[in-house]
Amino acid sequence: MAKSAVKKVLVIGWDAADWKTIEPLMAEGKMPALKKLMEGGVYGRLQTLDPPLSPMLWTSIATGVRADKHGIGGFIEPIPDGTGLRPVTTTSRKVKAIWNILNQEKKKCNVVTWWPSNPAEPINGVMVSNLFQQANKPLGEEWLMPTGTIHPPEMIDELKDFRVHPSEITLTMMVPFIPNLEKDKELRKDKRTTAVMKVLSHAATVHAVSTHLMENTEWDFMAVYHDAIDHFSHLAMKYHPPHRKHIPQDDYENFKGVVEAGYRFHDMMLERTMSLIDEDTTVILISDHGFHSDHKRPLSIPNEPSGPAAEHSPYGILVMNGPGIKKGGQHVSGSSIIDITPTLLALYGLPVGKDMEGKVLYQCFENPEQAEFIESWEKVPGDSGQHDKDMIEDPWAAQEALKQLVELGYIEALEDDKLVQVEKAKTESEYYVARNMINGGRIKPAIEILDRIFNETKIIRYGQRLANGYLTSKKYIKCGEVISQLRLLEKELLVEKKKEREAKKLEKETGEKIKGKKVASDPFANSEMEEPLYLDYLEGLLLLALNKPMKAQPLLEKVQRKNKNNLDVALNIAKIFNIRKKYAEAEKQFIKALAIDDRSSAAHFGLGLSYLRRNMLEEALEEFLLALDENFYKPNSHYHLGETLMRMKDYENAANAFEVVIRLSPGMTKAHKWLYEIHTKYIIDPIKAAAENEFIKKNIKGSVYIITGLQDAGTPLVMKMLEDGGMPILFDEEETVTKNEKLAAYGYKKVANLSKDSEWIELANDKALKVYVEHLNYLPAHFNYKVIFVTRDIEDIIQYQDSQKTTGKSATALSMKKVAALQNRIFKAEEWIASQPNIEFLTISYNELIEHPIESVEIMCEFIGKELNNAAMIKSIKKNKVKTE
Amino acid sequence: MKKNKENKEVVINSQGSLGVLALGAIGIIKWREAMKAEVEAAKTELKSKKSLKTKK
Repeated sequence: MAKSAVKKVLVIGWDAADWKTIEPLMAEGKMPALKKLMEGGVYGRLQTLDPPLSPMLWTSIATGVRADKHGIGGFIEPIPDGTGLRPVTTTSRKVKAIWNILNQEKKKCNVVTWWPSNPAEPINGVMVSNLFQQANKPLGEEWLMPTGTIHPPEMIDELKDFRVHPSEITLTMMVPFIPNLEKDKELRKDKRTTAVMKVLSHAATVHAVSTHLMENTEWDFMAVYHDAIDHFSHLAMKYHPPHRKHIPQDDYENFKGVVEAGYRFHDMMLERTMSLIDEDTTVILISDHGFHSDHKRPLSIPNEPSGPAAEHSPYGILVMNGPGIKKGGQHVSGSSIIDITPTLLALYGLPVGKDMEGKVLYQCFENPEQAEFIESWEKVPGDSGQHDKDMIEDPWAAQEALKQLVELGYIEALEDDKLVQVEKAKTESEYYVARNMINGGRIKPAIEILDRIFNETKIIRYGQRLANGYLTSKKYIKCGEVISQLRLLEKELLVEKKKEREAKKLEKETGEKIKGKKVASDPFANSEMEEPLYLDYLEGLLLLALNKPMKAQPLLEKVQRKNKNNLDVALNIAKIFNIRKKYAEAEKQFIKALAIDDRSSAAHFGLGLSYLRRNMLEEALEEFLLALDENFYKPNSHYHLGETLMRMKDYENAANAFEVVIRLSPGMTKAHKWLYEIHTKYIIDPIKAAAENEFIKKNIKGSVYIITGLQDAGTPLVMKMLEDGGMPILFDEEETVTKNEKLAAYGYKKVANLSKDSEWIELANDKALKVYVEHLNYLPAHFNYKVIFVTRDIEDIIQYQDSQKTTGKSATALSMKKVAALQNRIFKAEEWIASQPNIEFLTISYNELIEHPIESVEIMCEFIGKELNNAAMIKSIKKNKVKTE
Repeated sequence: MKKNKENKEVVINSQGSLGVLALGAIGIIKWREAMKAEVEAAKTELKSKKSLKTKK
């Protein structure tokens, strides 16, 4: 875009706007302005971040980074003087927002009610903060603005009368939202009615001030944020059609039109806004997350801070229109809210900060040109229109400093309840930031935070995320430990609840008040939400990761019975069926997943894979294309699309697919291998073939199949199976005297010396080699490795080892020491394997191998990717298991 | 800047409407003017009624 930079950009934010609500309205002609905007530009879904909490998200939208970097960690922060809590502020933002960068580039910016934007920043334009629309006095009394609401302050008088007070909202304005108000006077006093009036007055205020600024100021960039769709939806989505059984019919009849009227009002405001821009203006309309409007609407809201976020859906909306943007209403995919700032910079022809986490949405551009990059905008000097450095502070750090002053006796201590409140809010904020970090792939620091706050508070939600973090980072034993702790906590909670029930019963019988601890209920227990039976879900995922699909399946199916609308559960069950090669069953689950979310890229991808494995090529092709339509940036979808096209003998398109794989994931050797095959056999191109061959040669010298695990975990059995199955193996043959000794060993002496000498690894090319976990990290990088990690319950290993020798030490003491040492070895090995790009790995449980030999062998052979003698391998398990137990 | 052609189609009176709010700044200004005018008119009417009563 650098050469054809746009002149003006208008960003409109509609908090929580969702295509699922918009599409039926648009089909009925009820949102003509949005339809026009879409048809003249591009549109698509905009993926949100986790957790879907608006102040964090809108700050990520405006900065291109997540919460740990931008500093806005939730809804509230402590007041620096220690008097309590307040809504989050701009002074807590640690990085430049897009308007600060543009300010430095001499562009005039207007920012209206962005969340957070108080106190307003001293930009070269107008900033109206998010406190502008809050009425703090009854109608008729002077309605003062909080300090810092408007920059420049001299515009206060000009803008203050654009505030619409909730009491000014008339019956005529309200009837489109609640038609029964006309005849039902009692309904006019209903608190939901007054809440709608308030939200409408806020929306009208934001629109009035923004239209005034559009018409009466010079600007190059303008950002207008509306919170009303989110608020209308939280108020009344439960009454939105179709009617659900648990919603009282009267309430449904009264409030069923609120959400629709809210969206239509936004369309009317959009029409007016569009009439005020000139043809040089590029418009970007976005929402930070969506809002469930269908069968996924939760039946109740979790009893926890930010519980209402359970109503949010993971996809917001994106519409772009105007100079620099493709025309014709093309659907675009693969966009995330974190991409907005990099995209805006590219539109203006400015470089993107390498420290920004999002990408430029080139797919939306009419003439995409590679954006330029700089290390960081934070280092670029100039007037950014930020607050003075002494105003910018970390409120939590300020709180800590305050605590220290109290401890030193310089100032008086806060009241206890306020302290508790601040501490709770701080922990909660850390929890959100940790979730945001996990969402951004920064698992290790997130685990550190979650581990600390879970141990301090024992709050189940924190533990759940911690277990999930361990699972994501493949620290399976740690994950299992946290799940066990959570199970105990759950039990304790149940006991406490039982006591509470009994106390209540006694109270009723005796009429006396019984003193006792009030139990905080688990927010997800007994609620038909996204996360009931979360521990079972986590345990299921853990078993799946440990390659115990048969054990994982019943657990996940149990979770699915309670969570019929949970996409991830359906996807994971489907994945199990794919692993077990039960493709028809997998197909059913993927279809179930698509019934939950017909735009799930993962579901289309999985369904495609289940078709591909059954050679249903046309069907597979369609599903991979649908998967890519929803998420273009997934190399695996392109790869399997290429594989399908190869089987269909459409070599040209297959080559295109593999080329995309390489662009997205340059190190994906398999794609290079396919391209080599295409250019040597089908579309003969010696130059391209040579280049691919060069890459393969240069990067990969060969493949070794590593069998690893702790001593006595069962690695020799796996080696024996592979040998019987026809796999070449590397071991010290001369060392083995008897068959039994060979089975016990299968070792190769040089492995112990890997740290000093690894040249011999070429001897292991295309062979299986036994390597104990402590030697894994010395494997040289110029080979590909397929690692089979043999696991066995540590207690079983110790028992086995103890049975093999007698010592004078206490068996229990020895075991505890051993458990700790063995676990430590496994952690290190898991961590290392996860960080190696040239290693694929499969975990095989010894017990699973013994209990389900047929499926285990199938899984192992699929992983190895060679034609082996399955029957001989199964026979080998049955014959040799006793010897290794 | 483009002028809003739809302005003319929106009836602005003291009752207001979503259409008036959707006009933004200009809608709010005109709506409040209409309200003010109505209050003034009501005051004038009240005054004239009072003066009629006094005359009687």
